[in-house]
Amino acid sequence: MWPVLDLRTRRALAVYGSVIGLAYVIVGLLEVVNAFYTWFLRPGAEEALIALPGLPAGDLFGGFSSLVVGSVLLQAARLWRPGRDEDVAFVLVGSLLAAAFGVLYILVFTANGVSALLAGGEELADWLAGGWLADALRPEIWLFVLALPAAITSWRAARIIIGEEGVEEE
Amino acid sequence: MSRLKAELGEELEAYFVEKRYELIKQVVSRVLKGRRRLTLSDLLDRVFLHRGLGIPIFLALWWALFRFTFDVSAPLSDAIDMFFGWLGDMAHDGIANPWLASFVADGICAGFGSVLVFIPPIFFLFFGLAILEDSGYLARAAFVMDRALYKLGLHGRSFIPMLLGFGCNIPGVMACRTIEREEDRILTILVNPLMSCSARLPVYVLIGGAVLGAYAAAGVYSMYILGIALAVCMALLFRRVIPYFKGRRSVFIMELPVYTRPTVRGLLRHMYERGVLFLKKAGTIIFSVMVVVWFLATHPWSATAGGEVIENSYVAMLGKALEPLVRPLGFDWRAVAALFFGFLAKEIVVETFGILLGVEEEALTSAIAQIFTPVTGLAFMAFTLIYIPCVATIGVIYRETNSVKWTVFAVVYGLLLAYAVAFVIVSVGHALGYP
Amino acid sequence: MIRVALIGNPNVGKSLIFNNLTGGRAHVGNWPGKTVEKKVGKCVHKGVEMEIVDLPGVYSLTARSVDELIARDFIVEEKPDVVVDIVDASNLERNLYLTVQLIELEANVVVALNKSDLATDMGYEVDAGELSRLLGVPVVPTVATTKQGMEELKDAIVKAARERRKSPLKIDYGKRAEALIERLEELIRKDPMLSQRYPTRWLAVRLLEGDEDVLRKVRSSAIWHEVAEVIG
Repeated sequence: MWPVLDLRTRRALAVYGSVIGLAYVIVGLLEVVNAFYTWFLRPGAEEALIALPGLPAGDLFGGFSSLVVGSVLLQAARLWRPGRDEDVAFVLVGSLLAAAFGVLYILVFTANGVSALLAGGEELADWLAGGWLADALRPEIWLFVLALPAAITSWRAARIIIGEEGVEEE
Repeated sequence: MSRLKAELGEELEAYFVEKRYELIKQVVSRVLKGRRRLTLSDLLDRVFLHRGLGIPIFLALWWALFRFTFDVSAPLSDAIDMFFGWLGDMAHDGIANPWLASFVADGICAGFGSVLVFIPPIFFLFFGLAILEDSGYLARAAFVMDRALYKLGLHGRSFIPMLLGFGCNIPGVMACRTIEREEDRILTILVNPLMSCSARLPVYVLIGGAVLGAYAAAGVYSMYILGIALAVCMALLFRRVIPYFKGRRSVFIMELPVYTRPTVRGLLRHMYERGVLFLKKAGTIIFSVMVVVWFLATHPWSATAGGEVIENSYVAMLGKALEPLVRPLGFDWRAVAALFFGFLAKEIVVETFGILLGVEEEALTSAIAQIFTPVTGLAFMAFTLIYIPCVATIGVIYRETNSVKWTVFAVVYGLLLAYAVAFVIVSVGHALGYP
Repeated sequence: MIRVALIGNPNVGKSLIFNNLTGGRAHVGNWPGKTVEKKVGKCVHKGVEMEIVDLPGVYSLTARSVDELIARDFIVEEKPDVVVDIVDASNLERNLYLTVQLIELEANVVVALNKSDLATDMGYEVDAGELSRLLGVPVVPTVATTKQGMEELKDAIVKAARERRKSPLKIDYGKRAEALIERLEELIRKDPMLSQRYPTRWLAVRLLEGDEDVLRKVRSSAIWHEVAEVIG
């Protein structure tokens, strides 16, 4: 079966996908390290080991999830050389996963805000003081935004491959 | 034994299946002309069914589902909680007759409140699951997990019932209907209650938060993992030890549906269908039980001075009577009373502690810290995880298995396992030098 | 009157073909003792009367589920004159598994190759003639949604009922297994209760596979001990 997608598109996706993938892997690693520190090495510590704004201090599974998203996106490297059309799916699904988590953390941010509003008093003050920023700066939200162009490009490429637009093979 | 059977063992049936497919493949290759255009499902499956990435992707999405279920629904639960708290206060202030005031505030309002507070997480979970299911992804998840499940003694079709069990064991048990072989079905039903339903979470949070200090989060997670681990162990154990379950498992052939975009209406319908089962249980059992708990905790009325002196109530008598049974575990009469009512519905364990300790929400955590140590607290959490599923679940188990024998077995093994695990935790903890 | 059974995987268009053949009128009941629905309809084609029974949609004919047992028992015990196997052309490999089992069961099979339009849409086509030659049974391309192929199908059914050809297709299970199958067939032929009721090779293969239903049937036979020795 002859591949449909041209090399230029493949390479663009390969580069963009892998770079974002790498970013997710790095973020994931940082989060996992933080979680190990906070949970096992020094529980109840006031400061996280790696204290970047927005980086959670004790989210082991969230870090694992970002590692997974990153791993999927890194597979885009396969697109650098000519090969199977299906490999576009790594960018497509990777962006889908990125979207799932991006939207999730936006929702969590909103929920925390509403909870704080309901509780009022001290909880609300805490959240307004700095809690909200930590939630809003969660890396996965912004990486998702960055991944949007990759999502759109891979979706278009997928439609070409399926035969719904663009090149028609004989 | 025929040499063929000796050689192939478990794989005997698969051998014949394979031979047939060998022929079929040859036929197909000679009969199928032209090339097959890729479909969207082909593309997506390249990743979702990927040998290495398939399972991690599922685990990540599962985690997202959990976060969504509990953290995003939290404000709604908070709101409901506050509302009923406010309502209860109004009743207390507004109603002159102390008995009536107590009945309305602590019985009815508290009853409704403690039930309705679970609706957000349960409905959120089923909504999220509906997205995964209607899009077609869940079938892929079941497919990649199947091999793992098979090695663990479970059937690929057990996958979705187990997932549902994390919301509420009732739809989980009912979903076992899709499992063809009765033996596999009953095994999955027996093991399903070990999937920690959402009603148990508040207990973990309360106890864990009170006595585990910085390790509270880890403690809560470990309950879920413990549940899964025990489910696996029990499945393997039952298969090995109970003759009924011995025998080959059916091979899992599953239709992978085409990926589709879920419709909002379809999602809401799925969510409603599954969630409403919980509502029915909530509306009837939990609520009645709450009233019963209130009654037992505030009577004899004069002896308890309208619920103030708990030690004189029927609940206390009950707890004290059962206390000897759980003393080796380090539980006191309040704990065993809470467990007793938890048998009726896990949702009310926290509420029961509140009543028994005679404190309001805010002070509950510190009060709990008085009666549990980190070790006994952990043991109590494990006990809550494992022992008898709530009455409604028992009812459903009976209906689905159609057998008194298996239902009784489920209840008994749950109790025994819970006691054993709690005992081990306490023993090991003490041996390591913890109080 | 010809007795015809319709069988096929779930979702292959069996109900549609049933309706096309019977004109939508069917007597609906239950399979005896089961909660599974049984549909029976009639069809008259060029003067020949046919009674058509709709068997449950199944992927194979093992003893594993109620549906499969119903389908299998009907074919083995009631011995319909023709079994129409509806095969989804866009999903050939999996659908042919059932076909191959029907042929092993020595049923009088006519294959309806349905959803040919879908296959064409997907960019490929199935050579019905070659398929028929390789399987040893008639293959009729159909598109149930537009009623294409229905007349040819009815012709094929009538012809198959009259000629009663047995497909020469035989699956080679490998030297060791084949040796055991032959020994089992010898034993089976000694018991007329079994050999007259069931196809011997089919019975032998299923015994070797450990099919629970078949084991139960053979257990009450005189040859059971020798059989048990062979299969282990």
